[in-house]
Amino acid sequence: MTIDQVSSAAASNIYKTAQNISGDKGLSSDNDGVSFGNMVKEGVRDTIQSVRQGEQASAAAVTGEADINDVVDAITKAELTLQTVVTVRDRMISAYQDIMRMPI
Amino acid sequence: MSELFDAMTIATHGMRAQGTRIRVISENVSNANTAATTPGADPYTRQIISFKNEYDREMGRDRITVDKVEKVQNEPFPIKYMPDHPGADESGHVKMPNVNPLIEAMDMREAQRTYEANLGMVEQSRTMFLQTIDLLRR
Repeated sequence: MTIDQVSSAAASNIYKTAQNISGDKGLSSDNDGVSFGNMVKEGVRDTIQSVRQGEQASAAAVTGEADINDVVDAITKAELTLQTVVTVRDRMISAYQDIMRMPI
Repeated sequence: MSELFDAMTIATHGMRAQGTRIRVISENVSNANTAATTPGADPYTRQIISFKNEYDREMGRDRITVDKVEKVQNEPFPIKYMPDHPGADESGHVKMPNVNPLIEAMDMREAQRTYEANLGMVEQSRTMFLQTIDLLRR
């Protein structure tokens, strides 16, 4: 078996694995049915909603319609939610990169 | 989303309530010398604000809200001798508002301190939240 053959077989295997992972079942844990992907999706949806509320509040503040307390509340929440999601994402990516760098 | 977020919202409502209180006090102070304009009429009447606890359905928590702003009717109007005033009666006396600037100043101070306390709650919740996220960054 030449080196070329080995690497192409390995590549097709990796490709298949990647396809499986990117499917719905790929990231789910075995005991509970909640997938990590769904969790992230939910979190991001919450964030988008919270950021949108913050934006609406600041738009209302610019036109002078909103109470300043409401604006501060909405924007602080949006900021904190966004920071949470960004931090969790960074953490996940760094874990993923650690695995990718692992010598086989 | 979390207890700390609710704490922030509750404190924000406290700040808004104290803002309304300051507004009412401001009305009292600015009208402290607004006498009766016609003979026999009442002058500006001091307003007092009251708060109450309210259950916020959306949040599922108790929070403050303004109950009512009402006129103080049981304190008599002081009488002042000002014969040239349009509101003076036959004897030259005019009814003055029942606003005591010293009481208003103390009320204002209390409102400011309460506002500050709520501001501190918002800041503290925010700091605690950020410190928790910071755990993930090491």
